[in-house]
Amino acid sequence: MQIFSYKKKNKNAKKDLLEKILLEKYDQYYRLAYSYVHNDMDACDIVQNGAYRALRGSDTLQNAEYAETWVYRIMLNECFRHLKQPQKYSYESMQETGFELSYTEDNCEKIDLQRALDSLPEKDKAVVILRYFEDRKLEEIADILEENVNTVKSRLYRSIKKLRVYLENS
Amino acid sequence: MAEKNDLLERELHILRKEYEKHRMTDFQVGQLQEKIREAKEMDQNNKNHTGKIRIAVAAAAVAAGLFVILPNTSGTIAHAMEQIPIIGQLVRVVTFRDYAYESDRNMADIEVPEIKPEEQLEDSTLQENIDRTTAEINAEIQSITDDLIAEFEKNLDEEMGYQDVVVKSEVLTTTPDYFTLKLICYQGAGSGYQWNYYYTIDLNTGERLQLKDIFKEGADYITPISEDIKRQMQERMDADENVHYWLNDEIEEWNFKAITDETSFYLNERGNVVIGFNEGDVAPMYMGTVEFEIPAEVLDGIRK
Repeated sequence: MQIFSYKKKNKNAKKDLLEKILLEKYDQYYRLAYSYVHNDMDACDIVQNGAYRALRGSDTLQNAEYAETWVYRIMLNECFRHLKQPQKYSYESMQETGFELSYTEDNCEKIDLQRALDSLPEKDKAVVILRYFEDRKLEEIADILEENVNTVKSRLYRSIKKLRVYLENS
Repeated sequence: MAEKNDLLERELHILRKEYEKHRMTDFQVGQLQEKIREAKEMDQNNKNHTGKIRIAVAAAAVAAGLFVILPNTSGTIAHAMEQIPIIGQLVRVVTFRDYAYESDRNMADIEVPEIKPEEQLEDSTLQENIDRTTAEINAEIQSITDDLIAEFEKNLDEEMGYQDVVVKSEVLTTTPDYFTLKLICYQGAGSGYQWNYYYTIDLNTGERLQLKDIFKEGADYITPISEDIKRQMQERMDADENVHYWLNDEIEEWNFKAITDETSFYLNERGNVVIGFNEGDVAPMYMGTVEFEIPAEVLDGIRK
């Protein structure tokens, strides 16, 4: 596309583009991270580390048009990586030590569905978040997860079924 | 079943509100910026300092107030587009205004085209029509580009803002009967978005051409065109798995159903109708702007 040729003039265009995306979308990544770790320190760490990784690895970004998806994928992987690490401030330990959570006690049902969502496999949970909280199209979700659309669909159906069962029983 | 769906939808909606509450504090954003700077600096050290030099030059330019701004504000016509061919000798395209700006975070490259009627017609009604139509189109283009420039300049004051805006144009059709100018707009802030406008003049009447004008009175052209687009979408998807259109997608409301009288179109050099869609209209954003040429036989019998 001729109109985009100016980007080639600038060696650092990719990095600039990534920085631009990071500085515009950080709340999106933060929300995502928060929904996995349920505390602001870890969520903030994830976003920072993801940003660092994205900029350092900008050479592996093939197509600038996919940059946003690419950054999102890095952030999501950063969440998964974090969950595998020994926890500093895990969800469970915070409940035990009485850290203040974002949940309020006056809405038990909300907590229930959040628990149900948290109990889903990490990728299934990502699909539900992207589809229902971020309004992403199935194709975009597939791109982010690097899976085909049918896999994403089955993740979504499976998750919705589980959440529904959970609601019925609660 | 429907009730259960509603319950889940409702619950998810409540959860979404909760989800959206989480935002980074200013302090955390500051930490993120620090981390970004750190990552970029490491790269500069690895790359023979070219990055630093670039930044130093940019900084010097800022300090000296050397922004390159070349808006043609006087309203006089810049004949910078001399390479643009003369079209059918009835109208030609010149650059009305060039607006360029470049700094660390902001880039604008806006070429505002203007369609000029050639005053050499014996048919004075046609001449009047062409004058009126071109003035109308030029006013529309200038209003679009003025808005983009105003938005760009407003955003210059934002300390953290990044933005790119590009406007180019292209003459698509140069037949003796029709003239089409395509205005290509691109605006980037985070993710980029491209969209196009098509301006077609019927050179026999001097009027703006609308889709219905090329069909017989009362003919249904919406259905055959829409159905052919669907056929082509399916064909392209079958041929290449990377191609995707909203056609038989699970989410029914996204699926392409039919064109409208407002859908963009032009007539190509073969005289065929070409339908144009903007990014995200009928396909995921990564597909870009998409066009469908409708074969002549599909509209056989209903074209004028």
